[in-house]
Amino acid sequence: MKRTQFKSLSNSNEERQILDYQATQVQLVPDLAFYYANVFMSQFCMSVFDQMQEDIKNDKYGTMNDLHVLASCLKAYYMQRSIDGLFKMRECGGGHAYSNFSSIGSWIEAWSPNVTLEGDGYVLYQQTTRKLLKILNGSMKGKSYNK
Amino acid sequence: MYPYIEQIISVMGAKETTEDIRDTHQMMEVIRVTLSQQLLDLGKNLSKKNNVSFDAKWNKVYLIEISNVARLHALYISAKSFKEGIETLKVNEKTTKALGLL
Repeated sequence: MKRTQFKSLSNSNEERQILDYQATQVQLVPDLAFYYANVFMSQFCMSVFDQMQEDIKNDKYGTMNDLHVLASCLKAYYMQRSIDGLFKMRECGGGHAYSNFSSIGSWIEAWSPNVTLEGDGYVLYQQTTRKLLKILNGSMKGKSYNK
Repeated sequence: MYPYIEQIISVMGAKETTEDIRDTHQMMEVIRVTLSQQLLDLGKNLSKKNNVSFDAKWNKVYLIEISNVARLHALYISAKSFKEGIETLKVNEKTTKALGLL
């Protein structure tokens, strides 16, 4: 199923797909890129997790804190950004997207509890910023952070 | 994990400039400098000596700034990871090209 609108193609009586319009692309393509970024970040988090497991075997626990700091901001940010993207996607598709055939409604239904249960995410953000400030303080005193 | 942290001090005292953003690298630099600047400002504000307790500063007065810094951190590391990852991603040529331009 695809949503079409306006017969603006030259020498054609067909309506154009809304995805062909720049006005739609400018709204949806950044979100498409974000979903790819999401995949790369999850791979990165898994690599840090594997590193942490290795470090723990050697009685080193520093990576645990780094992973916590990383996951805190990503969890809050990605949860909100994802649901915003889904709403935007539904709005762009108009009536077609509201239709159950598009499945977007069920994605929103499945995803929105994650955001709601997390609350506003301030506590998670605070945990990341606390560590960043700690590292900044260290840098000011000439301490280098090699991670 | 904190790719910009070593360069933060270089941002101190930097003056605002106006430039066109023409490529991804420039965009990344804008995010990095903004994040560094906001982190420096936040550190300065939190350590300012006044009648407001640190607890009040942390949980009320600068709460928005604190979350903005963490959000920018998430954005920057995501963008960096995306930029590096997209070059190695195996999808069709047109998609790779379009994503690389973002």
